[in-house]
Amino acid sequence: MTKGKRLALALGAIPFLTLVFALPLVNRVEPVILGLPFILFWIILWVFLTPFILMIAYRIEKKFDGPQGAEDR
Amino acid sequence: MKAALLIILGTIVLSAALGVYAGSRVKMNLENWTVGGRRFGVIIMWLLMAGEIYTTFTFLGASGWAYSRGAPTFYILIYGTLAYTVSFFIMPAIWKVGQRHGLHTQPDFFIHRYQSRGLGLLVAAIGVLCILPYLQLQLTGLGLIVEVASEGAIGSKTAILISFILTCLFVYTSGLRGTAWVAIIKDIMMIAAVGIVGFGVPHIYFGGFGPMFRALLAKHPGHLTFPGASPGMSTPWVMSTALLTGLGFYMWPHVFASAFSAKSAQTIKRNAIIMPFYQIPILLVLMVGFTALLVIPGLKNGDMAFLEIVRVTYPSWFLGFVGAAGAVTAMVPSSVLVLFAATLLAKNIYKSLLAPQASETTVLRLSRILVLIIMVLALCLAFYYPQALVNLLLIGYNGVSQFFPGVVFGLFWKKVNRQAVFCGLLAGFGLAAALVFSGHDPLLGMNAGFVALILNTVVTVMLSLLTQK
Repeated sequence: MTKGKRLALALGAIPFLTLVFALPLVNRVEPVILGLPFILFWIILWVFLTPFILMIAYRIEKKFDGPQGAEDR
Repeated sequence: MKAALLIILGTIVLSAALGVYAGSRVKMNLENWTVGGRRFGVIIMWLLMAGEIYTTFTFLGASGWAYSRGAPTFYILIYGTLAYTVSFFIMPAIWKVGQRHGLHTQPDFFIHRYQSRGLGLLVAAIGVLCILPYLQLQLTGLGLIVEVASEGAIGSKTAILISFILTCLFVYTSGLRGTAWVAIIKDIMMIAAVGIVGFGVPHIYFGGFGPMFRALLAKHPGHLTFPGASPGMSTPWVMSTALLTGLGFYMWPHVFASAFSAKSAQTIKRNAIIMPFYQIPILLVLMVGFTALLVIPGLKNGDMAFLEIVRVTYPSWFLGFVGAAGAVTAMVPSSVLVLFAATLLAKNIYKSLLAPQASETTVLRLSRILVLIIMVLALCLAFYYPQALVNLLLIGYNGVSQFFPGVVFGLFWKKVNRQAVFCGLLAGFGLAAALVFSGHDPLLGMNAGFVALILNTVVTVMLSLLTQK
């Protein structure tokens, strides 16, 4: 596996860590943030950060593997 | 009420006309019909995917779960995001194989990768088995939406009949291209309806999301943390279900095949990046469900929460607009479901089992006829045996998710072989069905399909390692 792909996969693991494996830690109402119970705030936060995480992964693949390498998966 | 009627009927007819028009300018062959000629760019892919993802479940089911179950419904926000992340890593590779070897369907992929017709047949059979109840659910959902939205002016059966004859028409003539075009109308109407109601009702009744949540927590303190109002759905259930459905989402035969319709691997990656934004409308749908729990408590059927709160809050023409959006929301996914059920039957079961010599033209002709047959079958089921497929529906996701090891190992692991995948798939599907039908879902607090997926993966890996030369 190339360096770009390794880094991209590591980034791709973030939504799984935050939205699945962290759930037991965030299953609570307090603190209420922006009017949202904490659990819902946490989920929305990571749902909306994911596109940016994937964009960085896309850029990193291109940078380390070249445009061809980034397609070659 | 007249206005509502006009809006609903007008939308249905206009959508179908656009769908027919979409295919009228292309010479139809199997490639154009099933995968849109592999020419879809980022925008049309985005519309098509939104079209496939937002089914009647988005309108009725998600708000219904928010209403009657509470926090466990958050898994819907999570699994979509996981699914798009997975797609970023696997769909471009699937696109490549498809492009290089002219694949049209998910069983095509298995046949090509594992050089096994038997495996292709098994995948096709499970695929069709999981699609049919899903299709019937769309029909039933559409009938319900239109009947309520027209305040009884159009009966449920009439609505189902009209819209599905029209859906058949544009699938028959235009194939996937028809779906993509109708999806434009659907996406605009759906986002408008959900946006207006989702921002609207919490503000109308409570002056905002924050006060609405405060009121909800005061009245139902446990509703917004797991397990909400469903004691069986605590944190392990949410985690395992989000994982199962997140990994399984792209394993639906029609969603899998969407990879083949993109014009390049780059298109798919870019699409995957923007897809998590699809979750905004779902979030708004949940807000409607939560608000409804406070404003119109005690509904017998939680799935009616969305339509019911629209009915009591807005004028009847707007209810008609929501109903029209709901109707196209059922038509678009139905069109892909029926298209791929027909293609799987024609190409991967009929051709590969009975007539290996059949030409692509024959397969296309048969697929088109099967579209009509499958739709009639689904209509009969929806009218006369609405309960017949409910059990199958329960194992839909559990079933298709079992394709995941075969697909992912097939792409990235050289040692995996056909016997291992075949056994893993049978073991996973068998265990999922056994657990669900014997009432052992959830098992140890976890989604039964997830337990089955683990067994499937273990079997696939062990057998691959043991049987290698």
